[in-house]
Formats: sequence, structure tokens, C-alpha cells
Amino acid sequence: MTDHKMSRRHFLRLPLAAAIGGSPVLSMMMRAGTVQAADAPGDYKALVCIFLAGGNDSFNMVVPRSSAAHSAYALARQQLAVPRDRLLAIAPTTYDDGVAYGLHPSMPEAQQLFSQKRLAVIANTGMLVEPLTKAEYEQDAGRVPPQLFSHSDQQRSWMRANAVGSQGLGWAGALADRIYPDAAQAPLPSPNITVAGANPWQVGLRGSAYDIPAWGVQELEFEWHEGGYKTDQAYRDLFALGLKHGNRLVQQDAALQQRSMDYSKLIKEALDTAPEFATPFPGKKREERGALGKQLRMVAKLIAVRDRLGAGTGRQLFFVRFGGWDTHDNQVDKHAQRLLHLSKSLDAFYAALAELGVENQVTAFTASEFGRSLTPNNNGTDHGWGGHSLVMGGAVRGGDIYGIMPRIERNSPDAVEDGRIIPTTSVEQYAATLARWFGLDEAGIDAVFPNLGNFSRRDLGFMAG
Amino acid sequence: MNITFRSLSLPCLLLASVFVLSGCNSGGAVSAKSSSIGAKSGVGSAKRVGGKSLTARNRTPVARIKADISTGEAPLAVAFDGADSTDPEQRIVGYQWDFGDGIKATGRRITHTYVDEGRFTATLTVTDDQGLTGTATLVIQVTGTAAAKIDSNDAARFLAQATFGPRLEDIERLRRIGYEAWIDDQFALPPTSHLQRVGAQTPGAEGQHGRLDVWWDIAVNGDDQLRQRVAFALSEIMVVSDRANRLEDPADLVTGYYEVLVQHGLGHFRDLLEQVTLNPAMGIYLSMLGNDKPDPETGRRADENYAREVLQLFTIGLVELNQDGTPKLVDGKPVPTYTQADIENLARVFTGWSFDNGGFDKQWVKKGAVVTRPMVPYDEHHDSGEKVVMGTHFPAGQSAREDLAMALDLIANHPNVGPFIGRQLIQRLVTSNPSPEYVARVAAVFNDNGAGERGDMKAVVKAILLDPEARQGHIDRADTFGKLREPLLRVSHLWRAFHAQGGRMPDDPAERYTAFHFHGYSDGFRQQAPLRAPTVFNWFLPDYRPAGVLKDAGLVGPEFQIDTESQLPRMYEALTTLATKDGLDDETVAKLSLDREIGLIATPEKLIDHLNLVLMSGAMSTEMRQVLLDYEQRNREALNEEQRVRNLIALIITSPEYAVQR
Repeated sequence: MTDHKMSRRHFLRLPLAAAIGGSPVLSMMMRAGTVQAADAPGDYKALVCIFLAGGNDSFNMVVPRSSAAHSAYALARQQLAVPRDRLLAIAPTTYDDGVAYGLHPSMPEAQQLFSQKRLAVIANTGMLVEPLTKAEYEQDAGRVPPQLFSHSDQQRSWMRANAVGSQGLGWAGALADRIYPDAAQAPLPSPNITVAGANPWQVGLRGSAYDIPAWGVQELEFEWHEGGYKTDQAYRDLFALGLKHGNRLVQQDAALQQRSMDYSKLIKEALDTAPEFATPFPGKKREERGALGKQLRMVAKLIAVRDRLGAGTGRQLFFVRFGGWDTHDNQVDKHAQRLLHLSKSLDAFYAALAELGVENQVTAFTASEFGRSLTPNNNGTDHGWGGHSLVMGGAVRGGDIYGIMPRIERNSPDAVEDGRIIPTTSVEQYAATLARWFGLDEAGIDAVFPNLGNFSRRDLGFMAG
Repeated sequence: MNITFRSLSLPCLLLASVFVLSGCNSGGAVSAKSSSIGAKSGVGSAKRVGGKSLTARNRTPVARIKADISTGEAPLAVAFDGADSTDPEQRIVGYQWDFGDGIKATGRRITHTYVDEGRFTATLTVTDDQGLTGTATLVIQVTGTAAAKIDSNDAARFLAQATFGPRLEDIERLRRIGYEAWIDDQFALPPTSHLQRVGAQTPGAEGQHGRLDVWWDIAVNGDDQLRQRVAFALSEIMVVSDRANRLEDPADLVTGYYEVLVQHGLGHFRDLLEQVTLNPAMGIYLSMLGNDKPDPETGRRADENYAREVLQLFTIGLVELNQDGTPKLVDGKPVPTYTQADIENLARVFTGWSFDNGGFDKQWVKKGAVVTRPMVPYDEHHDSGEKVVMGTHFPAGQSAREDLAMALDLIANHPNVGPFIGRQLIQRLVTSNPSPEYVARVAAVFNDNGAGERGDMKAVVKAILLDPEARQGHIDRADTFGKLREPLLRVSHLWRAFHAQGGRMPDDPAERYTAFHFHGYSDGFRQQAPLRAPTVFNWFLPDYRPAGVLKDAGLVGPEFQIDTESQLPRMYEALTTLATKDGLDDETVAKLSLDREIGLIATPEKLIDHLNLVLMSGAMSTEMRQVLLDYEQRNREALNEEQRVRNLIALIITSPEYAVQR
């Protein structure tokens, strides 16, 4: 507790000092200078979490393509089944369970990224405390994570990478805390940046992520009436009063106002120098519309100007969110439309990273609170458990499937509760593999992922180096 | 509300319900003209102004005052009308009012509220284009009433919790009649219907625009503030959103849902739950509409969407609760309220319902009155097999309606409902971190209103607002009391406190009716608009703990979930624009009436005290007051009176001390 308070106070002093000095930019440039940002991009790394909120029906994103396996799949999925001849074939480099697989037909870009070994499929991950069999689940013998099918609980659990934890830290927050024990060395405004608002993933001991939405940032304008006395000074005086107010909610709001005042100018000026990307991000055409493209574009811009945020050779974690995956009804159209936007967005993002020359230093991965029930309701699906994820980047050992693909069939031996697949890989294994690449040491990994020791593999092997 | 004074045919009856007048001038209107109060032969008060030489032909204008009432109890709102003033040349260019109580204003017609008792001489000065003036006066007698029982700040704090924003006249009235009488008055008011007005009073408005225009008018000007405020709170707990594709059109769909919250929000919880469950907008949003019985042949299952969320979010939550809202612990662990099997069984209970249009499969026909009528059962699509939900056995062979009634009884009688709904309503109206004791007191009233009835929402709302913690929490729990104001309520507060008037949208021939035309599209408000949450989890979760002092202290701050570093300047720009420029963008028009405030600026201390009352319920620190006084002092030379008033308002509503309703 003492350490925590110390470090937080230290952290808070920085922007204040910068503001008093008159220029946050100046102090930040001095900091960037100490790590030789411009000349040594080699050590820069970033993780980008693409959260598919609502529960992606990933069993229709990666689908069995062999004849028998597809027939069993189609019988289970009924009117939701993707026809076999429309699947986009993928050929995993090493994974072989005797079944051929394909991607949903609206994902040709993802298919290409897979074949270029820039994209990998992580099979059937989900919240687990320890490995669990169907028999154990049904006999209440194993440790089943609580509130498995609740959106809010599973989003939070996923982002904390801890099925039973209550410590309240997200794993991105914990990564930043450990990689930057001295907050003074961390990029500004924080190693954790969210383009999609507050989220549990990026909550660390020193606070949560800084919010930079897709539309950018703006500074508060004080010239309400020309010629008036310095309103900005009065405004600052008022939030300075708020910082020492007796009511904690007032303090919280004042601290937020201060962070905003301290950094919005810095970020805005940095973003003004961002290049235009040659690759267009999806969203202009009606059929390509979606929330993800513009968010990833903002991430790419922030990566482009990272030197100005003191992250030239540092570590950054970005959060983006793409909703609408809770397909209880009208799933066929809704899901296809989202997968299309996801595929095009991933493609554009990779191209933008390549333009910046950082495609090997940035890894994007998908997450979703759960998969979905195999058997449909009228024209949709319900909340499931395990599901597949995608990882993309030059450092990914792409073109392969990691983990174990479940059997997608009626009364699947891998499913409980009427068609909900038991995960075979824990979210902690998935996250720990990413964290190790990002630079977290083994002691840190054990601390951040407390249940990892319950599983045989500490690293799923999908990251190179 | 003020506008109605002029057009009322039965002023006494209607006014009585609003202001409790002791005496009412039976004629309704009184008038005075200049000659009657000592002016000499019509031109007696003419003056030469500004040294201009007047042509011989110009004659002085004659001022005449009409007022709808001249005597009554404080607070007395008087609608003054100078329109009968005349000028031989018909060139009156200015109407200046001095109400005699220190407040001045301009405008041909104007409503002024006398707060204090006394005898006041209101003076109208009319000016023609040559600078000649005429004056008239009218005496207004404001009688004392029963002595104020409640401190102004306490009254304002109560109204901040119970309405869309305190107004001076409401504060003064509440002070005299007391909290409970005010609540009872509110309960007695007929609900203002949204549904009847959408379309009828918003001709040409496209879909949701008309709905929002009606919502804002009712929030800002409606008399049944408490009912409307509770309906809005419920709309953030039992969420339906027009962001869902199939709810965008027609707007009657979600308006019909809001109507349910308005009409039943202060009824009995069991009825509210049934109306919510069977509303077709909810049916579409959480896909109970068209939820078909399972088919063992194909493996088709019942849709679990509504079954899960009605339990998790609308009624009982995920874990068993003590009456004080804390989780029950067994071996140190919370106890889940239901299992996945319960959800699957309850999903089967909720099968067989669709639009009341003669066909289960006609789910896409969403036109006309059918979109607002409760869904009806189609028993051939209902799973009539036996079910077990949370230990209760549903026998085979029950109809859709029988199963539904049994399930809703089961849910509404669950011991969690009182603390679960009680705590969230407290959070929405009063404070983010109520003590367990406060929650327990409210839950007890939910369980039994004193007459043996469960789920009496009027009793629950009264218990929430009259609880000692609601009334004294700012003193007894000063460090944790209150709630961050959410963006939408900041706007309603501003517009109510300063009697904003809407306008017409000149550029859009389709929407040429008077309204605020505030459609919530501005990023500055995180697109916050009624019934427009991003998901069924609302804009924020009731247990959201923002990192920082709140999290460190183990406190929640739900509204902070949409208040972020980049959101904040965006919202503040929008708010300060509303405060300083009477609008927001090409659409929104909200003209603030600042006569009282401008009248007070000669004594800045008084003005700031007044703003402290209506905006901050008196919670402004002395340090903040000093910052504002210094600021005002330095602006004296540079800005005009109105600009200075507006800047002060803008500064207050962007301050941390204002941000938290305490």
C-alpha cells in the first residue's frame, strides 16, 4: 500500500512539473532523448487488444472444411452453418488434427494474412482456473469459474486474465506497472492508451488507461467572449481546489480534469504530425462500415508519433473495442458483416504498420468474453464459453493454429450446457505468451497470471523471439 | 410552465396545484396604464434622451402593463405583458422592466418570480426609435406564507435529486410546503405522455428526432418532474436502446417503451416488470419477441437473452444479497442466484410471444399501434413442457400467459429485488455509495410499504428521498456523499435553472416546430440521449470503480465510466457553448432567460450566492466563491453584464465542485 501510494504520488508529480515548467512537450522530449528514441526503434513494442464485445461466434469464423467434420458442424449449427464450398481454405503449417479448416467467406484478407504467416489462430481459449473435463464440470468436481455466461463478468475476467481473481487489476495495467517500475520512465500520457473508453484490461496500480478516442483529442477552449479576463486561470484555480477537496468524488473529477489539461495539448500536437497512410481503413463504403477501422487508424497514428510521447523505444498497450457480437438474433447477416469489417480492418492495420516499418514490433490480438452456443435459437445463438482468437503481426508465428480445435457437432463431447464448448486453453496461457514477448520476465508472469501454473504449457509458442 | 399562465382559462384551479396560492384574482388579468398612476395627460413622462433633436411630429409612447396576477403568496410568478403599450408613430423599440425587487429585465412579455414577500412596484419603460420614453407602474403584493420550513440549500439539494434540475421558484415553494407534501403533489399529477406527443407535436420530424424533442421538452418544462426523473432512472436500469438496428424505426417503438416507464414506474413493481417484459421494443431489444419453442429435431433452443438479462440486470442480479445490498457469503464466497439450467428453463418460459398483429411470424410488420401494444402469446409456439426455475416447478401444459405470470411472480418476489433495485435507484437519484443501512431501509419499504404491500414504487421513491442519508449525507458522510452528474443531466439542469426556451429549426422545413432540437449526436455528450445506451449494460455499470482516489478508498463512481480525459474537454466545450451562446450547433436552440441573474450582477456576491443555490445546492466552498468573485471583478471592464453572467455560469458548471451532485 505504501509503495503504491508513493509511486502514484510520484507519477502525479510529473505532469504537474511539466505544466509548471510551461511545456509538457519539453519535458517529454528530454525524456525521449535519454532513450534515443529516434535512432533506436528496435526495442519498441506494442500490444493491441481488439476486444470483440458481446461474444464472437468464432465457431463460424474458423470452420471445419473436411467433408465429415463439416457435415457434423452443419447438423449442429443448422441454419447458421456456413456452406462448405464457401469457406476460405487455410493450410496450417504444423497443426494437424486430421480436419481441414477454412475461414468465414467474408474474411479473404484474413485468409491472405494467414497464408503470409502474419496471422495465427489460437483455438478454443476461455476462462479456466485449471484444465477441466466435461465429466468434471457435470459432476461439479473441478473448479468452474463463476458467472460464466454473463457479459459483464466475463469481460472483466478476461481482461484481468484471472477467472477467480478479485485483485482488480487488468493484465495490461499489471504489465505496465512491472515494465515501468519507475513511472518517470514510462511513455506519456501512459503506457496504456484506450481508443474505446474505460476498460478493466488497463487498470494498474498507477491508474487506468488514458483515453484517446478515434476522433482525436481537443483542448478546452476558453475564449467564450472576446477580451475577457483569463478564464483558463480561473478554471485551473477551480480544479486545483477540487484536488484538495474533502469529497472523494470531487477529488476524482479534479484529478481527471488535471490529467486532461496536462496532456491534451501534447497529444493533439503530436497527432498533428502523424502521416496520412497510403492504405485506406475500411468504413467509407456502407457495406464495410464498422467501429474498428477508425479506431485502429488512431492506434496506427499514435504509433507513428510515439517519439513525441516518449515511447520511441518504449512499450505501449492499446485497447480498441468493436461491439455488436451478441448475436441472439439475425446472426447470419450481423456476424458476416462484422467479420468482414474485422478482416478488412486487420489488413489495413497491418499495411499501416508496414508503412511505418514497425510491423514486427506491434502485435494485435482479438479477445471476446466468450464464444457462443453451437445450437441456434430461432436465428441466433446464446452465450457460450470457449472460442477462437486471432493474433496478427510480424512477430507472430503465423499461418498456423495453436491449441486444440474442439469437435463442433450436436452433443459434442467437448461441450456442456447444451452446446457450450469447454475451453482447452486458458486465457492466462494466451495472455502470458503475449506478455512474455512484450518483455515481462518469468517472475512477473507468475505474479500477473496466478493460475498459469495449473496448466502444462506456459507458452503457446505463437510468438517468435 | 410560465407560459401557461397567460393562456389559462381557469387560472385559479390550475395555479393552485402548482403554487398553492392563497388569493387569486378572479379576473385573472390585471392591467395598469400610464395615465392612471400620475402621469400627466398621456405625455407626462416623456423625456428627451441623448441630446438628439426631435422632430416636432414625434410624440411620446404610452406604456401599459398587463399582468396575469397581482397578488399572491411567495414565490409568486407574474407574467408581465407590455404589448398593449402604444406609440402614435408605432415605433416602440424597447421594453425595460424594473420589477421593484432589485431585478431588471428587457422584453415585451416576461415572467418574473417574486421570491420574497412585500409590496413591489413594477415599472415598465417603453422607448421609441427617437429615444422618447413612457412609463407605467403596477403594484404587486406578495404575501407571506407559512414560514419556510426548509433551508434553501436543503430544498435545492432535494430537487437536484428528485427533478431534472432545481429552479428558484420550485425551491421557494418546496421550502414552504415541505418534502413530503411536495412528493405527494408530484405523485398526484397526471403522467405526461411522451407517446401522445411524438408525431402529433413534432410534425415532419424524422424518427428519433421527434422523440428526443418531446423528451427534452418534458424533462425541462414538464410538471410531473419526479415521475419523469424516476422514469429516466429506470431507463438506465431496464435498458432499451434505439441504437439497435431494429429499433431505429419507427420511433414509436422505443417511445412506447419509455411510456411504460412513465406510466408504471411509480406503480407496483410486479406490474412494471410485466409491462417491461411484454413491451415489443424490449421484445425486439432482448429478442423475446419471436422466441420460438425448442425443436428437438433440429436442436433449436429457446433464446436465452431476455431470461438472462431480466434476472442479471433488471431484478435480482448475479448473487444473493442481504437486505442491505451486500452479498451473502457462504464459506467466504458469494452465492449465485441462478444456474445456467435456470436460464435455459426460464428461456423456455419466455417462448411464444410476438406482436399483437395476428401472427407469430409477422415479426417484421412493425407499423402503427401494434408497436406499442404489449406482445401477445401464440401458444402453438410456446414450450408447454415442465420447467424448473430457481427451485420452482412449472407444471407441464401451462399456457404462455400462465407460465409468464408464474415466472414474473417468482422473480418479483425474490428477496434480492428490494436491495438490488433500491440501491440502483439510490445511485441514480442520490448517491453512488449509499451505506448498507440506507439500502436496507429502502429495501424494507420495497418489501412492505407499511400496508403489507410489496413493490410499491411510490413508497420506495419516497423512502429514497426522505431517508436521513439523502437529506443529511452531505454533512454526515461529506467525504463520500453524492454522485457525478452525468452529461445529460448537466444539460437538463442548466436549461431548467435558467428557464431555457427552444426555437425553430430554420433550415429544416420538416422540423419547424419549437423545441430544443438537441439530439444528443454531439460527441461531447458521448452521444448520451434517453434510450440510446451502447448496450443493455447502460453507459456505465453500477459498480464501476475508476482508478484513483475512489478505487483506493473502495468506492464506486458509475458515471466516471463515460467521463474520461478526452471526453471531458469535449463535453465541457459543449456545456460552455450552451451556457454562453444559447445553442450548441446548427440545430440546438436553447435561449437562457438570465434576467434575474443580470439584475443581480451589480452585487456579484448576491449573484454568486444565487448561482450557488440553483446550480450547487449551496455546496460551493468559500475558496471557490472567492475565485469566482475575483474573476468577476477582473472582467468588469472587459465584458458586458450578460457576458459576465454567462461566463460565471460556464465556469461553475465546468468545476469539480459542481461536477458532483452533493
